[in-house]
Order: sequence, then C-alpha cells, then structure tokens
Amino acid sequence: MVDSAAIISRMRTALAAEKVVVGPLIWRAGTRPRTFALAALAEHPDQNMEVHLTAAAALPNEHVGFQLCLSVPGHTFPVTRFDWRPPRPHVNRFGPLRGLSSGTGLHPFEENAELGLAMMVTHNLPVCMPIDPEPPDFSSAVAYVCDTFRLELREPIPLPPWSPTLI
Amino acid sequence: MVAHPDLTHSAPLSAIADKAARALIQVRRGPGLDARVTLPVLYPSGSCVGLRIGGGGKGFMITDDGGACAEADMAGASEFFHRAARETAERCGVRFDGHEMFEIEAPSEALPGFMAIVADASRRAAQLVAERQAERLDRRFRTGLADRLISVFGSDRVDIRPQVSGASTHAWLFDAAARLGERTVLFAAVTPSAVSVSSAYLKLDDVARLPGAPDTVAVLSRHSLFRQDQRLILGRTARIIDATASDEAFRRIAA
Repeated sequence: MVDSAAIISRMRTALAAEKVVVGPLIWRAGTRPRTFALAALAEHPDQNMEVHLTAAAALPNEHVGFQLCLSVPGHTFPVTRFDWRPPRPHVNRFGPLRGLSSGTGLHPFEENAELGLAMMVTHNLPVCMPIDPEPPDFSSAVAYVCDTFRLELREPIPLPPWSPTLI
Repeated sequence: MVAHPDLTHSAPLSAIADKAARALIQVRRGPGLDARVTLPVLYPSGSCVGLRIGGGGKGFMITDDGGACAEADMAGASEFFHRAARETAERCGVRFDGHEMFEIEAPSEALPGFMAIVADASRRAAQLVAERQAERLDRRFRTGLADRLISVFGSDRVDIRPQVSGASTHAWLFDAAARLGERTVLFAAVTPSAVSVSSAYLKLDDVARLPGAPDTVAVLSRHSLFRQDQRLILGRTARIIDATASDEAFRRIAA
C-alpha cells in the first residue's frame, strides 16, 4: 500500500532533521557502463534515509548527481536532488516554475511534494531551481549538499574516480 | 483572430524568436573527438535529451549516451527500462544495446534527421518507463484507497471491492463502498490514462441510471495530470475528489 500523505510527511520530517552519513564512503562501478555510484545511509532515528551519488567516468568535474531518498519496505522514494553541472539542461514542465530552465540546480522537496508523491516518483522530481553561482568544484558541491540536505559527514566523500582517457 | 498590438512589429519579434531558438540547441566538444548536442526534446523529468555524435567519413554514430537509461535509474525504475527501450527501439527502427539507444552509419546529408529519430526514440522509451512505473504505483494506490476509507469511515461501514449492477444489469467492480445510514456511496479510483477515465465513466454512468442510484465519488490519483475535459466527463457522473485530500474532505464529499 502507498499512503502518499504519510510518506510525504515522513520525507518532510526526515529532511528537516540532522542526519549523519556513515561510511565507508566508496565509489563503486555503477550499474551502467562508464558510470560510478556511491550510496550511504543518512542516519535518522525514525526514518531510513539514503544518499546516492552518481558520476560519469568520462566527464570529470561535471555531471554529478546527489539524491536524498526515503527507503520503505519495497520502495525507495526520491526526496530531493542536486544536479551539479549536468550534461543537459533541465526545463520545468510542471508547477509554478513551469518553463524555467536550469543547469546546475536543486530539485527542492516542497515544490516537488506540491505535485504529489506519484509525480515526484514517476517524473523524477520534475521541479528544479537553478543554483547560481554554482559550486566551483566537487568539494564545494559536497558542502552545499550537506548544508541543504542537512547531512553531517563522519568522513570526507572522495573524488569520483574520473578517467576520461578510458573513452 | 484579432492581432495583438504587440505582435505587429515582425522584425524585432523575429530577432527575439531567432535568439530563443538558437538557445534551444547547444553543442559541446568531447569526450574525445565526439560532440555532444543538447536538443529541445524533454524527458518526463524535464531533462533535455542529449546526443553524442561520433565517427565521420563513411557515416556517423549517434547515441543518446544512455540518457533514457539514466532517467530510469534516477527514478528508481530500472526494472522497466530494458523491455521499454527494446520495444521502443524496434518501433522507431533504432538500435539498442541494453544501455544506449543509437544509430550507426548515418550519412552526413541525413544527420539531422537521424539525430531527431534517436532523440525521439530516447524520449519515448523514458516516457514508457514513467508510464509503467505510474501503473505500478496506481495498483498500490487502489489497495490504499480502501484502507484509507476504512480509516475515515470505519471498517464496519466500508465494503472493499464490491460488485454493483448498473441499469444495464452489467455487474461493475468498484474499489470501495461506504454505507452511511440508509445511503451507499461508491468510490472509484481513477488515473489520468484515457482507459482509466473512460472505463470509470462507463460504470459510474451505468450505476447513476439506476432508480434510487447510490452516490458516486471518483477519486483522482495524480490529480494534477488530469485534463479539464477528463474532469468534466467524470463530473457528469460522480463527485470528484483528489486522492490526497484530507479525511475531513472525504467525509464532506460522502455526506
């Protein structure tokens, strides 16, 4: 059963709370060719929160995604996401910011939750707000994410193992 | 049609339109000798479709670079991707290797056309994944509706998935019925798909034609995706409520 209102309420509570990201924080090969992923628990006393990072081997210093998720039995729901230097711009198709384009951008929780849980999930957090100026490097992007997602790192997140020469 | 006074100066507007149109397409170099092209074609999330162009000489290679795949992964819908992409690739006549949707040996004179075909196929695959994921959520939503009504009206007053015969004598399956005193209120969960709206209309209308017909309520899942005409059609046979409405709103609409 999916009780949309209850899940959105749990997301809101968990996003607002301080969460501790526990290690080990290791980039591993993604499920798709030439991608890397890093997943870790973002510890919260009541909710199962996860943070997922993705990067592309061939694109150093760009195309890194940071997504905070709520995990429930049988489902993982996206809560909010930060796209750092994505390879393609994003255009809001729905919501009050319809038509707005962004490169580096935050997919904020409240604006996406306004559209309902089903839209959040099936359209992959469709509302995005540009972040300008964008964090100038990976460590600045991590710092922005920690501040916005309310995450405390017990150990630093290593640089993605970019290797553009593989291509 | 009345011309808007601001639209009478064609030269400045054409310049504005030209600038806007140029901004819709971006070309970047890399990785390696390849080029990346961003097109004004949107995935369900709102991300633009991007293509990687490589090769040359005899022909060009055009790939979505796994963009549709990445959309599915990010949405937690990877399990739907492979089949959806394979079906879409067959329909659109492009190639699929389990990750990327692509075309090879595109001649230079037809490069724009092949780029449009690959971009369209990639978008269609991502759309199909989103639809299948929505169907899965909708199935869970149907179960959730009955539970929700039990919490609002009490288990002794809610029947789950009752069959009700309409004026045609056809027996229709509803998601739930609430017995409120002498009255019965039938609830039908409806999604924005055309099939869901039309089948809901059929059963709601047939039941509404009964003498002493029960009250009917259409419960809309993903309400923001319903078109106005769909709401209008459903509104002729039932009261309408958003699935995420409060318990009080459910009590009011059943009253």
